[in-house]
Amino acid sequence: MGVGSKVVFLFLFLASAYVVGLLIFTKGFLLARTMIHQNSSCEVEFATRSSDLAHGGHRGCWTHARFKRAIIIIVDALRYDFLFYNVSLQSDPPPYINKLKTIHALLNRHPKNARLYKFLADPPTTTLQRLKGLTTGSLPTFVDAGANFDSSEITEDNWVDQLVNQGKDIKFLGDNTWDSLFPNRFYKSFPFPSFNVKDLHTVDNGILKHLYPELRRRDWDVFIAHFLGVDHCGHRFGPNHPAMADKLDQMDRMIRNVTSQMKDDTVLFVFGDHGMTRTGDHGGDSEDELTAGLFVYSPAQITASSPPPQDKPQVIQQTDLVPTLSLLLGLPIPFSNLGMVIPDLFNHCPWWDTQHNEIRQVFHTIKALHLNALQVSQYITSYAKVSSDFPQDKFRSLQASLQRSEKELEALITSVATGSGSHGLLDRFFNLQDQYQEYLSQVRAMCQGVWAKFDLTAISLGIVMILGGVMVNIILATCWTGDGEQFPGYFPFMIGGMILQVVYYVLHVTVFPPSVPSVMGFVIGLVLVYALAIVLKKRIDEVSKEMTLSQWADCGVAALVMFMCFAAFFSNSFVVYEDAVVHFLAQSLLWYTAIRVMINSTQSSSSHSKDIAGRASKKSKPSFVHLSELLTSPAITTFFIASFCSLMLRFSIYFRACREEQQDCELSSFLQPLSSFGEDASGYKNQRYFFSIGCLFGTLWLIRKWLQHYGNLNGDGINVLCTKFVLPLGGIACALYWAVQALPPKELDALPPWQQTNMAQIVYICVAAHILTTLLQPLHVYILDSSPSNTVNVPLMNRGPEHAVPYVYKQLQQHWNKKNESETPPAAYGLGSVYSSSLVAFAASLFLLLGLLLSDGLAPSLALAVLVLFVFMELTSAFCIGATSNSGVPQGPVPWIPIITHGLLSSTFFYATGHHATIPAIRFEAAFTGFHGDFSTNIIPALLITLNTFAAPIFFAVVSPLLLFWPQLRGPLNQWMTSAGARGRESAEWKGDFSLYDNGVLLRKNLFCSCCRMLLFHAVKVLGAACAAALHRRHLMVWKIFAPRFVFEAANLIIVSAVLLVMMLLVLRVDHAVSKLTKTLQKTS
Amino acid sequence: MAAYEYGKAASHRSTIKITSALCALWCTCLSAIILLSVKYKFPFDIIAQPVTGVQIVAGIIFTVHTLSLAVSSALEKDYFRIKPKNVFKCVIAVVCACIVFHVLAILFGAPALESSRETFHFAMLLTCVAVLPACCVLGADGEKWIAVYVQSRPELGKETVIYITTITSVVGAWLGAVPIPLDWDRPWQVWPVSCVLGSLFGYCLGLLFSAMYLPLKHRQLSKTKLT
Ligand SMILES: [Zn+2]
Ligand SMILES: [Zn+2]
Repeated sequence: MGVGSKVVFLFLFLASAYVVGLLIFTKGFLLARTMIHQNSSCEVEFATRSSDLAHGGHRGCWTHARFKRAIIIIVDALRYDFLFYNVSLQSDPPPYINKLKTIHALLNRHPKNARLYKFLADPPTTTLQRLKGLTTGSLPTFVDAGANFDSSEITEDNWVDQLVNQGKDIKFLGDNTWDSLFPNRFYKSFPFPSFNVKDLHTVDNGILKHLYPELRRRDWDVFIAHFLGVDHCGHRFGPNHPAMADKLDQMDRMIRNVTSQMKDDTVLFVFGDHGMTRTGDHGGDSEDELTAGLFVYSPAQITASSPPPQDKPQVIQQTDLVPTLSLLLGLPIPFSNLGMVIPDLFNHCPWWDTQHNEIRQVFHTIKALHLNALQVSQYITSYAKVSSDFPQDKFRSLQASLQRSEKELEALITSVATGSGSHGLLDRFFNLQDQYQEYLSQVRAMCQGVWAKFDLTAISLGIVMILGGVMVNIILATCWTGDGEQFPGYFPFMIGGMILQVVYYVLHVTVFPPSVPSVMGFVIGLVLVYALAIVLKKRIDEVSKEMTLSQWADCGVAALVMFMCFAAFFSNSFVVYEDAVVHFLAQSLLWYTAIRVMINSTQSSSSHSKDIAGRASKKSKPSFVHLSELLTSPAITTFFIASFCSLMLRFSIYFRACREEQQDCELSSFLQPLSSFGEDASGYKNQRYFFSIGCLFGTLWLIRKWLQHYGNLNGDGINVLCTKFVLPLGGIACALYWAVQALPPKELDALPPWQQTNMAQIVYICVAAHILTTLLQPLHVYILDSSPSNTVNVPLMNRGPEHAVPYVYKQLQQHWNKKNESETPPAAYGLGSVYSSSLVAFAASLFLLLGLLLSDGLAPSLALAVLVLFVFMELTSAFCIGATSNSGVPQGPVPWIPIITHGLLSSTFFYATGHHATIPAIRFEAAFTGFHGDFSTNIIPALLITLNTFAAPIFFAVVSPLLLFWPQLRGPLNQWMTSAGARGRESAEWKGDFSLYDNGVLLRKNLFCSCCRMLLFHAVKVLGAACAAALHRRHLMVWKIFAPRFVFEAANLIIVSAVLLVMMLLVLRVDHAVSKLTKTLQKTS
Repeated sequence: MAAYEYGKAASHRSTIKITSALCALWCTCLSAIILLSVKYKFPFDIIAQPVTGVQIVAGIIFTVHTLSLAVSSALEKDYFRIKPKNVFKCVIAVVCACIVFHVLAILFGAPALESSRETFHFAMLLTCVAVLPACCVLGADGEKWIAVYVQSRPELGKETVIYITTITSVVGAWLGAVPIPLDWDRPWQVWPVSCVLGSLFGYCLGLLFSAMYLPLKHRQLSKTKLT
């Protein structure tokens, strides 16, 4: 096995270890379920026949409506023990105890009109997720696959929509989360901002101001009020604070006033969407957070059963509210509901003409349960059709048990009708009720087992796995140096251990039953990490002996910045402002590099001048440095170049998007599509359009100039022609496409579909053609045959010393043509940048593609990235050359400082291309670039959206191998930045990056090492994001901040590793082509 | 820091001691002023009014350094540094440094136009603690600057002090930016207060460190010379 395939396999192995770790973590952390977009309707076969409605009551859908109106009062974070009245009170109670006296009074006074329940929430206990559960009846998940990501609007069937469908009017007051979940559903609404946790009163006082007048008007069918004060008080002070007592007193007064105004046709629900911990937070799954309370009341009798004893409260699930409310109001139960009707509330019917008996009561309950069970059965049947989440045998046995219950119900109805077998009838009814309840709770348990649980074992195994990957990565990135092809002795053990870990973890998470303890997994992981740490320690000891002070400083700075990147994930503020954080760190490293280069060049130039001055007389040494001399000195030049780079990077700020939590952020106009500007802004429209076009063509022109400079655009090879002509053509098509898209929406829609998209499709074709030719014929080299007939060709093709640069015939001669020196060897144009030019050409086509997808507003940001990268590469080259003191040409892999700077730049431009690590920030419109909607597969839109979202990381990963080749090129900026002494030493024998061809093994190993280091940067970030998400899984903001951050970082790592692998293969392909070329040269010469 | 061994002939023990003592004194005074102003808003409130605060602190630092320059030139009878031409050069260098720091702060992410007054005062303060002392000690002698900052071979004594304090105050200003994004809503998180405080604390720490480092290093050097 050659070194080439060795490094590719090693890299592949490392990347797949990361991917497995991420998947294991994700399996434990992210809850996923497929969403079914189907709504329940009135006309279902199992709904009660109209004959059943004969005996009175309000008209309903599946059954008669028990109540005409409902009042729903949500007191955010109302824990059960806030509601519950403890009669036997010990001294010195906490401030939240026994504050809701009205509820206690109502329960005592009207035991058949009021009920109190423990109301168990499903984790994650965040308000948004809870409201979803409380209206749809489904279990919460992080990723609702197939959901509409564009807004947080609920698209699953829910009782709000059902009410609207039935023509009922909903009035809403309170937390504006409702408004974003259900836009335009409310007949009248008074939303208040929910974001400011420190403000206890604005929302509540706002609601209270409107509550009573609006209630009295009785122009509503359902009245919703969502109070936030208790929750905010918890977040701010915790439950054990006098402010909580005040807040609860206020709620108590509110409930008393509301209940005193209620009429008989109205039912009231008062509940908390979740509880709170002892510190007042919520989001996780501890008992305090899960147990909210529910209080149901109506002036009319609602139940026939007597209340349960005080110390044994009834426990129901929050999803149970959904079918209960639906059936009480005569609505169809929402399609995806998994809740169970509360049996107590259905055993009494005011329209019974005969006297109440127990059979009637239980039969009434069973009818509700029957509807509920059939709805749930319908849902899980259609779910099982689209997804294989459910265990098959469990699913079948559940459906069979429902069939049995249905048969039993029919048999019972006939026996009641015929009056036969009345003996033991009641027991059979009770038995049937239990069966239905059992069915419903089992379905729920099955779904819960599949969807909604933090699997701590999987989470920790995933983290240990990623940690192991990072350790292996560090070793791969540092320990396999030198010329040798062989692995160090411990490599097989390390890789074997890693494979063992991967296999065991995968088995543990997928195959092993949950009863198998996970200790074994941790032991394997920790042993591996420990062993690797020992290896690493030894290696560090070895290396540190030879390190100079400046190398120590480099390592220290690199480690510090890396640690800052890692630690920033643990604070929500740093995650929210991560765009500014990575920009700051990138600037810091850029300037650190610049200062190092400045110091190096001053040092060498001063020693150089001392050499000269020492030989001359000491007195003639000028004491006053001339200004012009000072300004052209390498240090000052470096300063200006770094300033330019830094300035360009600073400009990237203007392309950032705003995330919700960034309060003082102004939306950049670059993020708005041109078509959104009206007629009055046509001047600005034109300016921006031409600015974007200018950036696009300017960058393409720069790339072309660069290739020309190194002689890579000579000859008529198909790849050269493609670079010369197809790329500009693509650029023109892109510009035209933007022009079409900038039309006002009306005019755009008037165009036939193909005209709206064809220009973008031309760009796709151009890019594909260019990439394909680059792959087929990767060398941008032109060989001029030097047979005696055309020996004079060389000077003709040369128009300057730069164009003569690609002459490497001396080299070729020495290497392969030692015998016949008299013959003139062939001249090869562009051989000096043979590796870089292929990479640059590849990057150019990608630039065009990504620019197109980023759309005209953000393409300038990518152009800025190209500019920054160019200067950064020059700066880095000067840094690398300075770092290798004597030989001049760096031999090792890319040092850490440039690697980390590069990674930070990639993150900076991720934000500067209008993105944020939140789901709503994904720019879905990218899917329609060049396509007109209605895709037959999801692959194309997913690909386009991924390319748009990760445009910057992809682009930066594509150009990353250039870091290895660029120092060899010794570009013009680079020469200005390095001192005269170093310059003089080098210029004699310029070989460009072709010099790396001499040692194929070293080239491959350095490439591998550099890619590993690049990967390590992203992997450490993923590790940070994963640890932060796991640590903060109870944090208030976990689903808004930490979980999305992890998802984006994980996707970033996977994409970057894939791109790096492709780039490694591309470099190997180029190397292969180069060796072929040299062989033909050998033959011809 | 092996570079010190190559320094010119080590100064007298007494000079080292005096420099170290002066450093400690100056550090105590300055940190006392800053702590008082941070904690008790006395004699001025650097957090609520960073502009005035910076003006006062920078004024104090400037006065102390120019005074010390005058005194030391008088004592050492070395008037090279206070020749008008050299002073002029130093002034130019200080102004340039101030502009560079201002631009750098913007490049690192400070708002470009709004609160430019605050940014400028931050730049001024950073110049006062990082560049001005060096100007006073090194004067306009480019060779010395290169020896201290490029080759990191400051002479044991004042040069060491300015070398250390320049680094610590710049690093302090850099670290001062770290708490700005946090959502603690503290008044000192507002730009540029934390960076101003960071550079001041960095400067004080640098002084303290050099006050302890100088005698230790000197003793070590003289020991190695004896053996
Ligand atoms: Zn809540
Ligand atoms: Zn809350």
